[in-house]
Amino acid sequence: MKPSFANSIKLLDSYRKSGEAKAVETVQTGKPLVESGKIKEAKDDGNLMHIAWTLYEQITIAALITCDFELATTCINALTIKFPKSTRVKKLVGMEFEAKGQHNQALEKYNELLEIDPSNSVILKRKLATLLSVGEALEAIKSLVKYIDIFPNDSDAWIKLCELYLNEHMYAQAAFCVEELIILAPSNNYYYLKYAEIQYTLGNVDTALSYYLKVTQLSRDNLHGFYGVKLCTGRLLKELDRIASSETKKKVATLSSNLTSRSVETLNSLDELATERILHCYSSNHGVVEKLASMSIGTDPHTPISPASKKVVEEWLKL
Amino acid sequence: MNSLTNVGFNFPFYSVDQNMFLDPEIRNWVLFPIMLVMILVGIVRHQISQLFVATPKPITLKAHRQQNMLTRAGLLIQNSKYIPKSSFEGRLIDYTKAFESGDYLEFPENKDAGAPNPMSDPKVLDSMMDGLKTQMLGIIPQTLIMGWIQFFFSGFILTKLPFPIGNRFKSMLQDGIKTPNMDVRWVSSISFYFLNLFGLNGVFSLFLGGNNSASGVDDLQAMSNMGAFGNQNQNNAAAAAIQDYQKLFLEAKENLELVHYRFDLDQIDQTVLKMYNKNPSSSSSAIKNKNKA
Repeated sequence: MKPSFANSIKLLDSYRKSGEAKAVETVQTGKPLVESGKIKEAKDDGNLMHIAWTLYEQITIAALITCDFELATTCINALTIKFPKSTRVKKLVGMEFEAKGQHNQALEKYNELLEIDPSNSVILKRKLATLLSVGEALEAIKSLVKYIDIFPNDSDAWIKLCELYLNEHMYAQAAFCVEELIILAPSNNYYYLKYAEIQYTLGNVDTALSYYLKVTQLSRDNLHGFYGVKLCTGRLLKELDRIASSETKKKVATLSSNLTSRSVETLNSLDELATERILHCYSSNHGVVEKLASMSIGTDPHTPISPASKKVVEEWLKL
Repeated sequence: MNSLTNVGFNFPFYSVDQNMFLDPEIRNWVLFPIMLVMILVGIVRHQISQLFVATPKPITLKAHRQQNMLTRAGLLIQNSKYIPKSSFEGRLIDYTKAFESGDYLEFPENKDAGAPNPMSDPKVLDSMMDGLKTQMLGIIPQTLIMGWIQFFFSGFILTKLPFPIGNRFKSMLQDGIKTPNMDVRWVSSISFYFLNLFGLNGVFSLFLGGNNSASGVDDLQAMSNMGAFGNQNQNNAAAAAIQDYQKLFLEAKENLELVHYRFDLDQIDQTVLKMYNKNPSSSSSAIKNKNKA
């Protein structure tokens, strides 16, 4: 059954407002609208006039993501006729070049736009994205740092920069980026998780433990967080054990206080807690899949936990 | 005081029963035209002012940088407790140094100059010129209409209000007519102009949407402010544009130094243990609660 015009528009609206990419769905819904010319009729209708152009833009971007260049060109042409001078439309042209892999043309287009308004951050970001997809990692970092110096409140840029640093194994710098992200949005537990992981990699197990705990505080029964807690407490306890058995008494105190500010008892109870919660997550029968999907990052919500994987977890916890 | 004979028997709000009839020609050729002209002028004015809307000048990158850095410092002050102490202190040192030396200023070369002269900044001058232009656009047609009414219809009585009204409204409704005894309900031409000037707002927002620039009320304000160089909005805009950023940065620096750093995650062990109903008593005394720097 073909969805009605009003329903299609409603669907596209919901995609746009939720901020999801959903490119394939957008193209599926939007393509018949463009091809049948229904959008064209819509733009003469007073109520839909303003929506029509937004829809064109939305469908263009989705089409570029799915490499449906024919559809993209149709939309861009329609937009160009209506807004011949618009930066926003010209940006789409640049994105078309990008999608086709013609990076030099895209860069040319963006440079041209930046000459008109050198501080247009959207275009600046597009240019950066193009540079990132062609350039060397270090070059990319350099240009991104330049951008961040001017727009330090752009969290997407910090995330990207962090990613680039991580690729280069520059963990201290990556940690700095995540700190900035935490300052920008202190209630986002994804940033805490990232920070904990970087700190763990840097060897600051104690700090990492604090941040893993913060994650589990912000989102209840966060599997990823508890795995981290387990990892940290396990490692700290082992280290403390090693120190206690091998060194003199005086040295033990200094060495262990260098290692962690926590007592063995706290570590033990945290360790217990982590084990308990992880097992709880895997054992509770109702809604496990949904829970996992909402809690841990990167878990595919459609794969139920197999008994085998549960066994693996249990074995790991026993270590 | 009233010379007419039947004055004593009147209701206080009413004046004398005045059997006065207006020529319908006055209605057709004065009342309606004035209203029509005012509406049309308002609409035309709105359209013309659309043409005059200055495209905002793009903000330079350095100005962005300056502004964003202030926001960033503010956010750090607010959320410092979520990052480890060493990270906060590192930032504190960096920011303090940068703010003192004026690294983030749009024009670092005149950081010691104090608040800049508003007239020296072309941006401010431009915005002032734009403001003047739109003001003139408002004042000129209003003056013309007023002159037209004064010249042709001065002393005209145009209409009668359908309801009684107090004597105090005489100066509002019968401007330009010097008959002390006439019923207040009669409206003179120039007063009708003013009634329209203030009352047509609703009509304009019907035609042109809420945020139109057709109404004449702002212009009256502008006229009364003419001597004081521009109207209120403009003064505000100008003031914002010429802020002394060096001062703001020094303020931000001071605020940063005043931050009493307390790590939010100090108590996290206890919080989490409690949250998941684990009895933290066994370890409550043990936490040393001193995070390594």
